[in-house]
Amino acid sequence: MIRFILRRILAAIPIGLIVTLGVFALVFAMPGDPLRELAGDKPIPAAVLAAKRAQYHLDDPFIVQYLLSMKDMFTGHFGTTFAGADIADQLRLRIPVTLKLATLGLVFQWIAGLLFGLYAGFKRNGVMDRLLLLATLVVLAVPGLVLYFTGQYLFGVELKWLPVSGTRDGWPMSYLLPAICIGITGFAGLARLTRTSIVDTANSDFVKTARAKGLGEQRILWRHVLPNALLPVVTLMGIDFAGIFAGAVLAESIFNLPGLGQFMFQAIKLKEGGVVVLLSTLAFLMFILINLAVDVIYGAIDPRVRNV
Amino acid sequence: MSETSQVFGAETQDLEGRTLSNTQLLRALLRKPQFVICLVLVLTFFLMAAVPRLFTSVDPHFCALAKSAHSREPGHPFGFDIQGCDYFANVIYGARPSVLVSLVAGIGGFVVAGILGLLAGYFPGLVDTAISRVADVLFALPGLIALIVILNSVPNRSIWIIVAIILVTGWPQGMRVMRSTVFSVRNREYVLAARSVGVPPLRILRKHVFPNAMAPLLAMTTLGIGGLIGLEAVLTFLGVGLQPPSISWGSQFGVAASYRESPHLFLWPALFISTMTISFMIIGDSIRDALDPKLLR
Repeated sequence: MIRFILRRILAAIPIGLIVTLGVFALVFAMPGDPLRELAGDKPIPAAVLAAKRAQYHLDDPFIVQYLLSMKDMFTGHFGTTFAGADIADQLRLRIPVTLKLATLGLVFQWIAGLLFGLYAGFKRNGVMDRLLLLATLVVLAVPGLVLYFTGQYLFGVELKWLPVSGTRDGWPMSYLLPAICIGITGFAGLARLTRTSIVDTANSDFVKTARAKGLGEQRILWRHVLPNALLPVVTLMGIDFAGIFAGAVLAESIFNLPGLGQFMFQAIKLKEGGVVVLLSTLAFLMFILINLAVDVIYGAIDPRVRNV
Repeated sequence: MSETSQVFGAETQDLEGRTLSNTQLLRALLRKPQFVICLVLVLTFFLMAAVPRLFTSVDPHFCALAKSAHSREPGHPFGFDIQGCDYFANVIYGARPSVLVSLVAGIGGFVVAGILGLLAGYFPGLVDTAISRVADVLFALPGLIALIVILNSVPNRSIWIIVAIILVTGWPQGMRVMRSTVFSVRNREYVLAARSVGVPPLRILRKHVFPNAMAPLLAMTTLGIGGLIGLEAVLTFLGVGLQPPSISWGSQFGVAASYRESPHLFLWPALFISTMTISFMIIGDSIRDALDPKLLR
């Protein structure tokens, strides 16, 4: 197991290097001078500009800039943004916001997805099953943007049950609405996959064998159907988890939550290569860790993949 | 990281046993009322994108500021936008980017993912390694973030550039689905037979492997088109997609977000974009059901 984890981490290192290098190159290739844009129409003295450029290594060649920002990242000296905010402070403020939003969203999504998926899978072709298929079709088909705005308008502006935007009302009130929206957009895929997976497993030969041996329905369900049916579900849950930070960009910008997604978006707009690479690296690390966790859980529920 | 293919594999079943010929498939599809309705709707949107003049005679850029954000009145069924332009005309003209994205990114994505998946699945070794590693890299970066970064470094964004960048970053998922079905097909008897009589590899891929391995990718593509339409709207809303004066549903959402007191600005593009994505979704669902031999029994 330890060897497996180590091998996965080793394999992730070159991918991480290419990803960060690629992101940095893209930010580097963006048109415009970030410092001049920041200053707007005001004239800046040449000496100030030169000092600033030296501080952010903007005059160095591309690869030197990249290496310097990687060095900063690994030594923990994140420095400041172009506007002068301390990046470490920003992270300290923003990580909890995104984390709260993501966890709450995932909890809604997983509970709804698993409950509906399991229920529909067991009682397939029943009324609930048909209703659920219709509901998931609608949720899958309505673009996230439309759903977020509708939720915001309905529950925030019209009914005034929940705050429209911002984090002024604190945890959990401010996060409820965006998290429910994330949960609704995500639960449909999970519910459908759970249902299909359960139906498929319940029709498979080993379940028929188990039934032929005279096992009770409960034992068949818990020992034979569920462990096998949940394998692809665990995978999808992992993918969702890894993708939730990208989804946070949209939710945070619509509901105006000061989280990592918003930070990322601002940094891209202001051409702050260092911050973009830092946040991309964070997202990448999350991705690798979650994938690793999924594989470990896989090994725990499926003995067949244990010795890969 | 081949788990994705398992996820989609569970929804889009490998075709064992009897498959339908194209005419049979079409006939089976046309027998379903929901498929016909959605097809008509989608074709209407295509027509709207191609010749918007058929639907409205009003110029969407003709505006009267005095009527800013007014609600509907005779002759202007959807009311007016912030600049006082006729909103019905604007929503009609906004169909074009969404339809272009759905068509070009949908078909293009199918072709790119299909070809790369064929190559990766049929030529294990160097080709497979190269394609799969590139896919790993693209997969490791959250999709939306990659798109924002890339689009931000492009100064003049047309709909074609947006589609191209969606294609460049979006193929790995489809490629993995295709690769795994090609794996299951490549050692079937008919492929071995073709190889044994000396059929060149490209012809085997085209005539024998591709037709038998394309169904899951096709179903995934049609189901994913709705997501692509939404993606274009999200990118434009976030300010990294189409730029004014281009008219699109995404930019209309962006405007509507800052004028909450006039909900009609949001309602109409939302209704249109949702109808379009739902239609694509139901078409995709019908195609998948028709292709699934388990349901034919």
